Amino acid sequence: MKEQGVPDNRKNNKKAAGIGIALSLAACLFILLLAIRMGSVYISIPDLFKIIGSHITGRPLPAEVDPMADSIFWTIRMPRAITAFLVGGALSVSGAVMQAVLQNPLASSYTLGVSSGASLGAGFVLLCGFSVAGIESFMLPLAGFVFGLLTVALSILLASRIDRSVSNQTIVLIGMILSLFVTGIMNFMMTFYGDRSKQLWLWMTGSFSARNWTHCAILFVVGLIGFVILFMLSGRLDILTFGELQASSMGVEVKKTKITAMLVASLLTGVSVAFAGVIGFIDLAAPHIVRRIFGPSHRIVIPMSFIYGGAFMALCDLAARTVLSPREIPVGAVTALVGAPFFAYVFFAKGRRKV
Amino acid sequence: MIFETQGEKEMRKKIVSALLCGVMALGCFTACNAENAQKVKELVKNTDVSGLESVEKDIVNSVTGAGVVPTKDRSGNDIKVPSEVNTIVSLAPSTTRVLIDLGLALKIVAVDTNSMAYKDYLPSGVKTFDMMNPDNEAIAALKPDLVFTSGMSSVGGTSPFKSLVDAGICVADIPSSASIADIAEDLKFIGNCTGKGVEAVALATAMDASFKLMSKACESIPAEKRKTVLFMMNIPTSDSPTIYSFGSGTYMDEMLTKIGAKNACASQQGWVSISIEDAVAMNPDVILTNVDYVEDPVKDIKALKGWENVKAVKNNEVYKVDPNLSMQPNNHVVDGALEWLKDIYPDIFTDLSKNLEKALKDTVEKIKGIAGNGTSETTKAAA
Repeated sequence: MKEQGVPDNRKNNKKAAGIGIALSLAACLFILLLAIRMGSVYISIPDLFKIIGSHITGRPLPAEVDPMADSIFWTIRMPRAITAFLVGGALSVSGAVMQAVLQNPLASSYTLGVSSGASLGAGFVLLCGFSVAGIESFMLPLAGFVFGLLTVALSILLASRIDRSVSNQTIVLIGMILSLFVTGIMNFMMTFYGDRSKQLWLWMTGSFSARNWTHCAILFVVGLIGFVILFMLSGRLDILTFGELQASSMGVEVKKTKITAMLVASLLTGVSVAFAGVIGFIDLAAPHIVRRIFGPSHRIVIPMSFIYGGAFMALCDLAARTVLSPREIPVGAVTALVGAPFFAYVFFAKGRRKV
Repeated sequence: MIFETQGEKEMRKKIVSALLCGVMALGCFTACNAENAQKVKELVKNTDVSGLESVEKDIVNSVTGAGVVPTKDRSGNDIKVPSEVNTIVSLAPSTTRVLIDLGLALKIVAVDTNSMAYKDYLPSGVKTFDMMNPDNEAIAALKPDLVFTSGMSSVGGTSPFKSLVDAGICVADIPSSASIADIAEDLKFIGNCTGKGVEAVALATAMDASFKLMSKACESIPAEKRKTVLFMMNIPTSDSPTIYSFGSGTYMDEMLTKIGAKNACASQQGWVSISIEDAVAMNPDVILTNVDYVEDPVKDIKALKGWENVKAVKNNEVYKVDPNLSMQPNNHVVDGALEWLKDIYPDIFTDLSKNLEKALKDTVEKIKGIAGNGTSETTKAAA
């Protein structure tokens, strides 16, 4: 993902942004294709399209394509790469919105306790063996999702009770306190079930392995709904970045917008954490990079955060599964290891910043 | 051996006891020098059982160093084993099983929780401890003569049993062995610490001899018929998608090699975790799994999405194996290898069992001949 140039001239703004968007989309498609193609088994591009074609049209696989390649690509690798893309996109959109709403460049849904809540939920299921017949394999994601959202809801509720204007400081502080508290509960639980802690740790560090098309479908639907709602809020988010006072004087219902945006953003993070574990950094970095390239307008920042975050995540997952193959590196470690220096470069290279 | 039929169980028991008898009565002697062998022959001729016993022990001791009380444990720590060991704490299931095999079950006063798999053989009031988080005070209160620990318990180089050592209790550490040769050394170490050196040598030699028999039987398998085996210690799910297995440099890899199979993960070292995609791409001929936390692991593995075209799944070559045999580095890895052999090359297993049955009969006859009507103590222990 190269920086596509920052247009300074207002006249050329729209045109440059258009080119930038087109280039980004092309790069993103290229990365997705790369992520699907690379791995322990290589495949030729024609074979890849034959496999995809046969599944979409429902026609039997051409005889010259190895059925093993079909299993690996269609059943194992593709859903994985697409899940990574969707999760990366959802996390970045959520990060972009949280940063705007809380007017804090370091804010994310994690600040409000999504991750610690989700971990507590997952830990609860793992340790107590709690399960509902029929959806056993979805118990962890479901519990993670519900607990994650509950924690955020509780954060916002507490913040609005304590501080009627729901100021950003209050929300961030309450979120952090609640996060620590929830983590405390989980550590307390772990003392009793030490032998399960490895499993929980694995879940928390995040992985896209063993994701199937069901995961993709759920992520896609939830992601799409969240994306559309947040995109519709983008005008109001733009105004919010000028400050709450200005925003309310310009007729924006600040409190309502903030709470809606935060809840929907947390929904996106929640579903991502549920399916991929706690993957940090991407929600922080992708929106900042996008703002550097395309400027602060949320009508562009939100969709572009999705594209950039998704592509970056697909790339990180590619690294996670190929660098030490057949071992896998936790993808959260890759996002931070690759992303942090890259982020620092983009952020400080030109000595200019815009949040 | 939870799931095998009574017949198979008997078979395996016979095989092992045949080997044990054979080794004790005959095998050791061939290892001795000519002079000793001559002496033994004379004694056998005169059916001088008590004389035979003493020579046997002497020879075994001189050849193998059995009976020499160790001054260092298997981790290289200095230890001082009491001259008489009457109470033992065993904090690893593999050690517990060896102690039972050596006839020391009644001396065991406490074990780790995993050792309770053998509770039928242990004294009824035996205490249990958490291997990963041992209660040193409670262990010290038992005043055991000897505590066997496994490398498992040490964290970051510090032994969690330091306070026991400071309290003057003999703590002998046996880290998890990486090779079959090391397992033999572990056996001898346990035997020599507990006054059962000869018996331990017998177990070790029997293990070695059995592996030799197996690898000889598998020698003739042509290269193109050698099967690639993926051993799965877990079934991947979306919540924990990594597959745990072993690469080269492990005793389990050696077991596979000895029975003429190829380890799918041989390019990796030690205990490995591999991704689903790589496991599928390995396309193993056979999948073995020791998973016992689900009802039917074979069915679950066959049902894994994307695995339909893996040869093992396509050809119905997914087998469940007994975790207590192969996962614990002790003499029972032989039973484990036999079990794997039965799954991977059933024909060779059948031939081998027939031969062994014959060997068993011959040996029993020979031993009867040597011992006359009386029974020798060593044969009894060995059997």
